Amino acid sequence: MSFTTVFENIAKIMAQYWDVFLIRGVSMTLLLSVITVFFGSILGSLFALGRRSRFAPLRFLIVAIVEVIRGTPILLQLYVGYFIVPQILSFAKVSDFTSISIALVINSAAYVSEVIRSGIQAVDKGQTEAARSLGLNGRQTMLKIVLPQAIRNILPALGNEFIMVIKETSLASTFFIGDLMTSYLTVKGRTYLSLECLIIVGTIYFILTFVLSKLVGLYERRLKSRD
Amino acid sequence: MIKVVDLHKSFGKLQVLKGVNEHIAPGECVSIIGPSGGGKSTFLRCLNLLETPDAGQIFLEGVEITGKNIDINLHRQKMGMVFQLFNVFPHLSVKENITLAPVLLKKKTPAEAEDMAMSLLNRVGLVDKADEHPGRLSGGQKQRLAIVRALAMEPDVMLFDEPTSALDPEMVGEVLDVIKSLVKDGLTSVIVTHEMGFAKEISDRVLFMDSGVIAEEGPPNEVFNHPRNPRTHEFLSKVLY
Amino acid sequence: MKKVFAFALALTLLVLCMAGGVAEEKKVLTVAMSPDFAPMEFVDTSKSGQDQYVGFDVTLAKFIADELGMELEIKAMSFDACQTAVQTGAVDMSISGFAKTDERAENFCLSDFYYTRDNDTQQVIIVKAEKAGTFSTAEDFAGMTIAAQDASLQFNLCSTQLPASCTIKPFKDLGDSVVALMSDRVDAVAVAYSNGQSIIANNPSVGFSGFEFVVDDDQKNNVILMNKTSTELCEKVNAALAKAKENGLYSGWYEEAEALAGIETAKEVTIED
Repeated sequence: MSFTTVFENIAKIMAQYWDVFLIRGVSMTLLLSVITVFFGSILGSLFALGRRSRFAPLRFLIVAIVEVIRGTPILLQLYVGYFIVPQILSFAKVSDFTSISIALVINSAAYVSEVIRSGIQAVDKGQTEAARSLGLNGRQTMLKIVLPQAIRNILPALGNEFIMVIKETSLASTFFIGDLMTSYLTVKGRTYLSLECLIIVGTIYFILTFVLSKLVGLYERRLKSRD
Repeated sequence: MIKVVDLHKSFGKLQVLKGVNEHIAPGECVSIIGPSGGGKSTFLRCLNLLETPDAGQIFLEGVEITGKNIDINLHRQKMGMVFQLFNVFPHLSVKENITLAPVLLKKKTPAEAEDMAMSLLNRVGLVDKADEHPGRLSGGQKQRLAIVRALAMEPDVMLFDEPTSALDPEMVGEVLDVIKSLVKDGLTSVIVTHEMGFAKEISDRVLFMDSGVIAEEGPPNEVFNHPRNPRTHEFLSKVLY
Repeated sequence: MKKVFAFALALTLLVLCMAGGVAEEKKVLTVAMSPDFAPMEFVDTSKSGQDQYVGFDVTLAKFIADELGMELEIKAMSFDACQTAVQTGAVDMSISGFAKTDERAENFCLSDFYYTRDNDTQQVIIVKAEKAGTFSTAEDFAGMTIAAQDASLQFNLCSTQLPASCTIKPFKDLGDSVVALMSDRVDAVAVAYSNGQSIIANNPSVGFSGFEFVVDDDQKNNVILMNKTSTELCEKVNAALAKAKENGLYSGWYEEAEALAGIETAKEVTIED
């Protein structure tokens, strides 16, 4: 197979299907990632909070969820999300997009809760002791002393989670959700030019994640320079 | 002011406090000396319940703070604590480090707290650093900040946990001077320290702690110059030269 | 704090649910398919929503829905997921170029065969263009590596009809096996004739080998997958299929699908023996 043919084919595919990749695919991948990270962060924060609860069954439940999510392939979770969530929420008639989003959000939340937990743990124990010795209660200590410092550990890690999620949403193409990988399946399915289509979506994924990781790096450097 | 009855504390199998009894009077300055692992810091940290005792009682101004249904946060406000590693809040400015607790706990209005912060900073020579973040302070400056942060709650008693151990030698003096001036003003103080000269000079009473008990106590003159307990003698002969 | 927790959780779920939209009252026939298989089912990228799914199986699905007096809703998903969807009852059926196999017959309720057109009963092998037409018997492939889609009819045919010295390499995806052919990872790919046409139309460096499998009537054509419990539906579907066959609709549908997929039907490619 000659490389010139591959490049010619790529040019041909892009001329005909550029909007499928660059507009439909990219916008859906970004939309899905933003939804996943946004709600994943909210739910992940609640998970992290719940893990500190004094109510043991809640703690146990959340630890169980987090461990199961982290210990199983995301493809399997998407199957569960796609086939089982709509049955559980049958009263609400959830769309494919919603059920896939729910699966991605819960997956992301598990990872985010770990990010938050380790971000909180990374704050020196002396900070808590100093705050408590001044008479602050546990909640005031968490809100005024620990969390503001933990945020500095957490935010860059959340940026990295976003990068991971962009790549993970590609698995949602199993259900032709319309993301970049679905664009790949779609165009490949009618041209039978897999390699060319893979090179195209691979390049786009790389550009997306590369730009994002540079932005996260920039933000991290700004945080450091403020100290 | 503080009364301690038969205090016990273990970490796992390690018994750190094996029945400590002590009474600290108002206005008194008590230094605690002794070998590492003797229970000095644990004892001090038990006084404001940063460590929860396994057995025994602690009374603060007549109230048993080890009892049930006690809001320990209220009682901690009456006890300032200074840590070996400063533990200043790095995300707050020097001034905010001081005003945070009094304002949050409604002891002062923001304006009052700010006035007090500035006069406290003036007292320890940090006025020009008021708006800086602690990251820019030296170790000695951080510890002086930590001291006035505790003072801002207007505590009845101050607990110092090896306040100069983590400092470079040239900064020890500036911190000790601040503590001395507080003691001179009559603030009840309990100081865990390795600075023997300082303990001797400043204390009304010295406790020698070893193996989880107070092995010897008395006026500094007696403890340092005529120790009765052979272990005190042995310890002092190692640290005094 | 607990109230905040509960509230935020409820809010998150609510927002996610609302994205789902409101329930639809009309009777809907849900059909799963994997639209990456031109010309049987693929995506017309100039359209969106339900309209974007086109191809022979889509036309067939519309026909069946009309016959049943229902509204068609296509659920696009991977080939594997299609089978899961039927098994779990998430969809009513799957029309996605399924060949009849014993395993499928055991786990699903299968419809009668449906046809694309006469010559699509052919199962063939494609090779690189320079070797096109140089094969006539199974023995000509001796010692070669042949790719076939995993769990497909072609894979079964390869294992039963090609010489034992052949290595048969399963691929999850037909497109991937074409890449393997072009990069010399495999010597040939077993495909249905119609797929072979699509592939060759887009890849001039590939051609028909000249070899054709012997196919039993039972293996020739595609079936529709339904849930084991859907016997009543299965009967209605079979009635619809019979009607389509009787009225000679299949060929027209197929030509239409080919045209959409960009295959030059006028230039009929014949297999040289």
